[in-house]
Amino acid sequence: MIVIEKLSKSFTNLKVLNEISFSVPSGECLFVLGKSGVGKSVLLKHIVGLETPDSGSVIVGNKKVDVSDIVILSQIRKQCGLVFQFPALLDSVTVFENISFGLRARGLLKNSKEIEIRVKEKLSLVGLDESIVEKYPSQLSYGTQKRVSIARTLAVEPEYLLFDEPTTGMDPIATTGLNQLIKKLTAQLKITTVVVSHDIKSALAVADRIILLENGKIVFDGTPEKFKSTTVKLAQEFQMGF
Amino acid sequence: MYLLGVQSVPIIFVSLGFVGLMMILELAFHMRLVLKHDALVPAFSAVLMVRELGPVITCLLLTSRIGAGIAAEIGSMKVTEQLDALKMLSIDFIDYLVIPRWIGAVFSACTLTVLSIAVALFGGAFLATQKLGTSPGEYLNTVFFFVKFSDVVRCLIKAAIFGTLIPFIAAYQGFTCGTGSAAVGEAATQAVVRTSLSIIIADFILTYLFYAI
Ligand SMILES: Nc1ncnc2c1ncn2[C@@H]1O[C@H](COP(=O)(O)OP(=O)(O)O)[C@@H](O)[C@H]1O
Ligand SMILES: [Mg+2]
Repeated sequence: MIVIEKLSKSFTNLKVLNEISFSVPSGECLFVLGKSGVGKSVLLKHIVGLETPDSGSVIVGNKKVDVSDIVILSQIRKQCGLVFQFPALLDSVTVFENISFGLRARGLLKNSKEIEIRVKEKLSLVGLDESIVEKYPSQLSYGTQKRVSIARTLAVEPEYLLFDEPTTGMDPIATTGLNQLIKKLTAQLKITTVVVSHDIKSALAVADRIILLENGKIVFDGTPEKFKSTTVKLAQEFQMGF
Repeated sequence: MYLLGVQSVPIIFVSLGFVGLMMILELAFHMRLVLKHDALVPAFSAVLMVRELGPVITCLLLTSRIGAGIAAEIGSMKVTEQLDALKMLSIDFIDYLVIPRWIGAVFSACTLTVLSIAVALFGGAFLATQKLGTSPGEYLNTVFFFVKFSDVVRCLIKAAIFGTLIPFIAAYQGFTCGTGSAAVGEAATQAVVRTSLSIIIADFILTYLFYAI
C-alpha cells in the first residue's frame, strides 16, 4: 500500500505538484499519465525519497518516507524497485555487474552461483539473451539498455515496482513484451506497480487504474473503462492522439 | 584514474620543461641586473621549483585535465539518473565514486610533481650549461646543496594536498550539477575555476606555514 497525502513540490517559481492525494492498494497496477514536464518523474521520486516534499507526506507500507531518517529510508528503498526513465546503467561495468550490484550491495545473495542464476533468470524475464552479460552498456542499443535496467531492478525482487516511462524509446514489439511482463508481475507475484507514462495505449492495456495529472492536480482517477468514456478534456485529447 | 594521470604526462613535462628554461633566463637577467653575478641562479631556480612551481603548476595542469573530467563524469551521471540508481541500490557513492578518484589523483599529483621537477631541472641544467657557462656537474652540486630533504618532503605534502583538493571539489561540482547537458559543462568549468583558485590559496597558506613561521 502506498499512500500519498497532500503532496506539494515547487522548483524555484514552478509549482510542479499541488496538494496531490491518492493511494495505491497492494497488488494494484496504477498508471499515472500526463504530458511531458507535468511532474510525473518528480512524483515517482518522492515515493522513494529521491525528492523532498515541500509539504504533505508519502507512506510506503507502514513507513513514512522521511529523507532525514536514513534507516527507514533505506528500508523503503529496499522494498521499492525504481526503473528510471533513462536506463541509468553504470557505464564502467558490465551488464552482469550492473544487474548483480544491488544484490551484492545489500548482501541479499552471497554465493556467486546463486547470483549468476538470479541474473540469468531476470535477463530471460525481460526477454534478453544471457550472452550479453559480458558486454558494457555502451555496446547495447537503447532498448536493450532499458531492459537491462529493468532486470537490474527486478533482481532485488522488490515489493513495489515503480516505472518511469518504461516504453518511451522502445519499439512496438518490445513495448508489448514489456506490458505483458508488467501484467505478469502484478498478477502472479502480487507486486504493487506504479507506472508513470504518456503511453495511453499501454495504460489502457495494462492498468487496473489510471490517474491523469495536469497543472499539478489530478484531473481524472478511475479504471481504464471509465477513462475511455470520461468527459475530462485532457483524457479525450490523450485518446485522440491514437 | 591512473589513465587520466598518465595521459597528462606529456603536457605537464612540456610545460614544466619550459618553465625551467624560462626561470633560468629570468633569474639570470635579474641577478645580473642587481648583483652583477649569476652563479647562484641554478640554486635559486631549483629551490623555487621544488618549493613552489613544481607542485603548483603540475597540479594546476592536472586540474584542467582530471578535475574537469571528474566533474563532467559525475555531473553526467547525475543528469542521466545514474546517481539516483546508485542510491536506490543502497550503494554509497562516496565509497564508490570519490575514494578511488581521490587515491588516483593523489598518486598522480605526487608522481607527476617529482617527474616534472626532474624535467625542469634537466631543462635548467641544459640552459645553464649553454648560457651561463657552468658545467652540468657544478649545476647539480649547487642544486643539491640548496635544496634540502625537508623541501622535498614539503613539496610532496603540497602535491598530496592539491591532489586531494582536485577530486573532492570536482566531485562536489558534479554532485550539485543542475539538470540538462549544459549544466554538465558548467559543472566542469566551475570545478576547474574553483580548484585552481583553491590550489593557489592553499599553496600560499602552506608556504606560509612551512617557511614563514
Ligand atoms: N531538480 C530539479 N530542479 C529544477 N526543476 C526541476 C527538477 N526536477 C524537475 N524539474 C522540473 O519539474 C518539472 C517536472 O519534471 P518531471 O517530473 O521530470 O516531468 P515529467 O512529467 O516529464 O516526468 C519540469 O518542468 C522540470 O523542469
Ligand atoms: Mg519524466
